[in-house]
Amino acid sequence: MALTVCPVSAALAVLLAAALHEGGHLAALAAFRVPVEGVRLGWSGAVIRARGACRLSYGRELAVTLAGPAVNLLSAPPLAALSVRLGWDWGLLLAGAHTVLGVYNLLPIPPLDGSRTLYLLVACRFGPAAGERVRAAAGLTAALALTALGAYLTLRHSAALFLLGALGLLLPQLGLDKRRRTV
Amino acid sequence: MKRGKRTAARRTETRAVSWGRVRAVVSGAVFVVLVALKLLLPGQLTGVRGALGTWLARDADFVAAFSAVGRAVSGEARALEDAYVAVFGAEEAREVAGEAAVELPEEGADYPEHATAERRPLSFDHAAPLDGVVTSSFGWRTHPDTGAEAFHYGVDLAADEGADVRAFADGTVGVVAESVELGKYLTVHHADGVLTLYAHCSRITAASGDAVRLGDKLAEVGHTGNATGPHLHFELRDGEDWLDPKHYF
Repeated sequence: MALTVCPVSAALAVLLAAALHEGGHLAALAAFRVPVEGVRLGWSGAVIRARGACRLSYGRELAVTLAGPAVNLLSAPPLAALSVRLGWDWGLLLAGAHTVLGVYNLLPIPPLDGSRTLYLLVACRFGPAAGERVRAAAGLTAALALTALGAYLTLRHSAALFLLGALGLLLPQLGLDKRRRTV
Repeated sequence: MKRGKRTAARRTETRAVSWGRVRAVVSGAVFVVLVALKLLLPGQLTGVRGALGTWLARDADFVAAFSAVGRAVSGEARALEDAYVAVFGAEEAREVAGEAAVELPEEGADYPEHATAERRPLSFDHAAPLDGVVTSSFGWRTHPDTGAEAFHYGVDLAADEGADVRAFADGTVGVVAESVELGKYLTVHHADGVLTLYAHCSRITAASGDAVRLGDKLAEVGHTGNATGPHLHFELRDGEDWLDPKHYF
């Protein structure tokens, strides 16, 4: 049985960082007056259903997509500095969770925000078909690279959870063309 | 319109059936391969199962890891290294516990790379982490569990369960974590790139990032992890090199 020392304090930090991440997306959608139909939990995190996002310009949709990671990555430094000054251990934990979550979501692997960002940047210049091709290729390449890294870490440090996590990102790439657009 | 709908429905149905067949074939093939391996190579399969069990039992301290990332964001040097150690375990610790990475020595062979009997001067005041009996010295020994010859990268100091473990010198607490081999352990960064490690503790009272002074209480003696009785496993590193701690007590 894998044992990860991840007590309630760490789980709460991750959940709060995730909630603020989704809050960033929701705030951006609200700023552009896109109605949100619902939020559901997927295997990679929360998925916001907002079909009106399709009618946003590329720039605005990019802003919505990056709003989540931006909340995490912009929160982390001041929170970390404040935590060091106040000697607040849980604050450091939360800053670390923000950083890890922000960086993770910027990976160019569907359905993460980084993949959507890449699609929007390419589609804006070369059209949606090109965007999809680049997104699929980048997603598969990045997932394979992560899986290779996970395999290396597993062999070197007996850290099987990371290989499993990487496989969790890789396997969906094999059926990528069936995915619908989501925020 | 109706014909179009029927055709579309049939196409969807056909695709679903094809995927179902693919899954059935793949599952069947995996089953056949596993049965064949079990019958033809039972020893190797048992070895693989043992390795998988070891991998799955590996601990990763996410509290220490996230905290270390937070400290790295605040600008603290070497915090990312602490995050790495918290997640993957101290590399030196696996070697100290007698992992097979260490080659069996020839008679009269020197110490392994990065282990030295040299007594290097330290530029700061220091003291033994506790008053205890040295039950296992730095150097080659017969591993108490495996019986194999292995290099011991620290010293073992026997003491009563719960005895105070104190800081070797002024420094900053690095990793505070727990692993299968070291049990509850912590590291302290000192001046000039010197690092100390305190393992098999029953309780750790210092927190990652704490500034500590020589003699401050860090933990209590225990026998967590791969330990046969209550003792402190203490290591002293100067950069990449392990030093013999007995020179500094």
